[in-house]
Amino acid sequence: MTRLKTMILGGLVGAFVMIQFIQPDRNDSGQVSKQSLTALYHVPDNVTQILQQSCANCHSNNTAYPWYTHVQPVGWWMARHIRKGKAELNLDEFAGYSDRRRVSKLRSMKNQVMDGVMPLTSYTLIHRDARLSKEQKQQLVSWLDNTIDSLNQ
Amino acid sequence: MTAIGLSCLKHEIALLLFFYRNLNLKVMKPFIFMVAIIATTIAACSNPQKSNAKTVISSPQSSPKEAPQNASLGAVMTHYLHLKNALASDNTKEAATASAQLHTALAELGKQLLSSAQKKAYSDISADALENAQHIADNGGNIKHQREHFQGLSEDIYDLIKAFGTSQTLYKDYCPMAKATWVSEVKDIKNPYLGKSMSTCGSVKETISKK
Repeated sequence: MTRLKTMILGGLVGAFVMIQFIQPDRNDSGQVSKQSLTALYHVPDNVTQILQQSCANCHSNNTAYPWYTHVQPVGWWMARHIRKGKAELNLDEFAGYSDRRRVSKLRSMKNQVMDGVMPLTSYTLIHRDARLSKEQKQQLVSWLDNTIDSLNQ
Repeated sequence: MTAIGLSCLKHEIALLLFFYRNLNLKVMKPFIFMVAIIATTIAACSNPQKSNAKTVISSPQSSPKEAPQNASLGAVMTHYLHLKNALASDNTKEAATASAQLHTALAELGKQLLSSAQKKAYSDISADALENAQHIADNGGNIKHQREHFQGLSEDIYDLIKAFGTSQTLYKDYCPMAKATWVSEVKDIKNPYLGKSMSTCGSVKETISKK
C-alpha cells in the first residue's frame, strides 16, 4: 500500500516537474502599437489607465505576466484566455478593424462592462487591482458612449 | 510549445532512458507511472487550437433550396427574419439556431457572383455581420446578449439590403426605448428587443419596396 502511494506521489511530482518545460509562447510584443485604440482616438488618461489595468492583459499584444503564470498548468490556462480574448478584441490592433466593426467593438465593450461580464470574475479574483469601481465603470462607459456617438455621425 | 521546451523534453527522455538501463525495475516503476501521467496531462491540456474553434450548426436550408438567383439576399433575409421573429417571441434557443443558419447564408453570399458595388458592400459589412451572427448563435440562453448583437446585425442587414435590393417589401422599424432599429417583413410592429413584454413599442421609419 505504501509502495503504491509512493509510486503515485512520485509520478505526480515528476509529472509536475516535467510539464514545467512546456512553456507557452509569451504574448509580449514589447512595443507600443501604432494601430492601438489610444493612437486612433483621443483617450483621456484615466480611461487609458483603466484599459491598461483591467483589459490589456488579455486584449492587447502586451501581457504583464505575474510570476505564477510561469508555473504550469497556470500558464497554459492563461495563454488560452489571452488567445480567446485577443480574437474578440485586440486594443493594439483596433485601427485594423473596419469602421463598422470599430463601432461594434466599442458597443460590445460598453455592454460587457455595464453588465459586469468584463473583466472576468475568474480574472479579478486574482488580479484584485483589475476590478472596476463604480466611478471607473462610469468613466469608461461615458467615454465609450461619446466615442460611439462621434463615430455614428 | 517552444523549441526550447521541446529540446528540454528530449533531454528529459534521455535521462529516463539512462535510469532505465542502470537501475532495476522496482526503482523504475514510479518513472513509468510518471510518464503515463505526463502523457495524459499533455493530451488533455495542450490542444488549445482545436478546443478554441467555434462551431456553427450547419444549415440544412441555405444551400440547396435557395439556388443561386444571381446574388440575392434570399437566404440571408429568410434567416434574419426568422431570427427577428424568434427574438420578438423571446425564444432564445430558436434565435441561436436561426442565427447559425444566417451565419452560413452570409458566408455563402460571399461566394456568389457579385457586382462590383455588391462586392464593395459585402466586404465592408460581412466581417461585422458574421461576427454578430456568430455571437447570437453562441449565446442561446442569454437573450440579453443576443439582443445586443442583434442591434449591430440589423444595421448590417439594412445596409446589405440597400446594396443588394429585396424581392419582397420590407420595413425598417425603430424602437426609441431600445434606441435600435430592425428590419421586418410585416407592417405591424413586433419588437425583437423588448419581446412579448412590450411587443408593440416602436414605429415604421421606412418602407423598402422591392426591386
